[in-house]
Amino acid sequence: MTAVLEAVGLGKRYRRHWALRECTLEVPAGRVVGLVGQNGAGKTTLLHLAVGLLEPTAGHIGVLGGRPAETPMQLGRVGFVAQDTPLYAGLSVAEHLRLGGWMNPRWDAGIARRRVTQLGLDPRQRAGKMSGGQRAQLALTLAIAKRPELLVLDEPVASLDPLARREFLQHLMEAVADDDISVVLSSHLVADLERVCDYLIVLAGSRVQLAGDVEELLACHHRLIGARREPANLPSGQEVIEATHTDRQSTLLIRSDGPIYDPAWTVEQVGLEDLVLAYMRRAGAADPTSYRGGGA
Amino acid sequence: MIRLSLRQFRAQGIVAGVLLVVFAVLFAITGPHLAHLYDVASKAQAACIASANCGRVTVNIGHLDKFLELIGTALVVVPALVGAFWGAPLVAREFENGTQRLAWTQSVTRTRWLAVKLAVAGTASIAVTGLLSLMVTWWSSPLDGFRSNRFGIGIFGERNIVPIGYAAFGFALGVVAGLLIRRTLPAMAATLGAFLAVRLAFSFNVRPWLLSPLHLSQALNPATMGFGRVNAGPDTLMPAPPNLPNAWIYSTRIVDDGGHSLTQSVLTATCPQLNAIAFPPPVSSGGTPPPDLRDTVIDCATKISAKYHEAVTYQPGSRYWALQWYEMSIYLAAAVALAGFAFWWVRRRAS
Repeated sequence: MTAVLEAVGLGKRYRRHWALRECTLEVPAGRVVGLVGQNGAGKTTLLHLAVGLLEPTAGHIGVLGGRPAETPMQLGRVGFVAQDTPLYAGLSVAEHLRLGGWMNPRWDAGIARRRVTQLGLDPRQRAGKMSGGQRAQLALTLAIAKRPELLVLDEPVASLDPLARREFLQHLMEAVADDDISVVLSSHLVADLERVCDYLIVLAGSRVQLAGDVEELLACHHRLIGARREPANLPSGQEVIEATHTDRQSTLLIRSDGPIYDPAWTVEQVGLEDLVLAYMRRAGAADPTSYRGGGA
Repeated sequence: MIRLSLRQFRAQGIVAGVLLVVFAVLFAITGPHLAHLYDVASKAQAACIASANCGRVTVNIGHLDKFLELIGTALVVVPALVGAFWGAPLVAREFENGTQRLAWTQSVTRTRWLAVKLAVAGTASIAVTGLLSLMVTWWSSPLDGFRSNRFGIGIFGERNIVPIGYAAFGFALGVVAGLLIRRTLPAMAATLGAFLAVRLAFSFNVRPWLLSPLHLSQALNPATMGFGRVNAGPDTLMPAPPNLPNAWIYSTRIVDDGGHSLTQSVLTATCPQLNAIAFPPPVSSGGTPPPDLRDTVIDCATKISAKYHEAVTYQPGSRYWALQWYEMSIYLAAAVALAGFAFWWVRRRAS
């Protein structure tokens, strides 16, 4: 199966600041991919590169085997819900659906109408007067009714309250379950992604820190707890992601290809959130200057 | 895409349509009356010229002069407003609200998106300004014919086809300002400023040199010679404008056969008594009153005309349409260049 998203040495620079660099990825089709990272880690930059809103400064990015936004056809294959779900404030719900139809040859008016009814949106209401949750739902409807092969969502739930968050993600999952749509969605909270994603990309300090199938990632990471010692003498094939020490005890978060045999350690499962945070902290310690936040 | 552009332009289009209709009604009501007034005035002027002792025929158009002022300013500002209110927000508003991220990720390329937007709003800009110019030209034609001043700085640019060039340029300027500044209000302000600067600079510094002017030499006519000063210059002889109907006269100078202008020292040497008139001694000093000015000027001009003649630099009235086309084409070309830049920017730089 071809990759939905493929990046080689991808980088984007704004003046002197690299928002994303040396990004190499290959995301298989049919997945729900979570892109997690702090604000300013480069999530939006990566997603904008994927939908063709940005041009790379370095490297190459391919989406569904083509160059992003190169042709109307390519644009039609990718649905995008941008951060803060931009809509035309002066246009009504019905008008947004109409514009979706005008601008997309593969538009499915039936799906759009059904979703709007199901969500209880008033077709005559202007987008400018809708709540954040309603706006997000309308933006998602526009992206889905376009019948894309890949759906990209940039922080779709960031501005929603917990209830609307859950509802939005549920609708998203229902919508993509029937068709074979691949999804990439970003968040700065692992908790948002944990429930829906089966593939994870961790961005920190403008670089990809970790990428892979969620179950595989969980299977190959372990927390080792034991008497205090320096981690240098671990067997090969084990990489320390994070080490914390108290006076007597050491706790290591390691990545290991095989099982752990050393009886001196107590081995624990690692939760996804702890795993992600460990990688983020490691990136922050390695490159503190990259934590500038803002923009990207 | 075209339907989205039409929908986005709807409110602006309605406003422009209403304004056009209001103007059309005002023109239709007052036009025939104005034509009648000037018809009467033209006949009076013809009769006056035929008579031996003709002064000057004036026309009192009453309350219409206020309206005349209004439409005069309207055609100056309409292309600027088109640029500021239709051009500048066209893309800037999308950036400001982030909706370009919605528009540019539908199944329409950015090039096409911009092309359709430019076509819809640009056509409207040109059509509205063109129609307004057509109405103004029709309405003021009796007046313009009477005044025979078609090249006037406030008239040339407000009649016939040049306003179309201004509108296209103002619109494209606004679009580019919006693209670069990305915020509506600053882009509008920049558009207004830049447009007016270009328009003024062009009218004063470029238009006179679009076609090289003609030169005319004629003997001085002492009978019609005037005496006065230009701005803060010294008092000097001022020939009456030559009889060149509808021409655009750049300058009327007094020169000798070598082409040298009449200098102040030559003038005072030839006509010492002129100074006495120009700077009469204070009355309290008990000096004799100055001799009659008219006679002194005629006398002086007669002496000067022995060595000097009148040199006129001008554009003949027959070049009016050539200049209209030239100026319009230059503005249209500038508009096309700006639009080309906008396409390049949207494809390569903007995000």
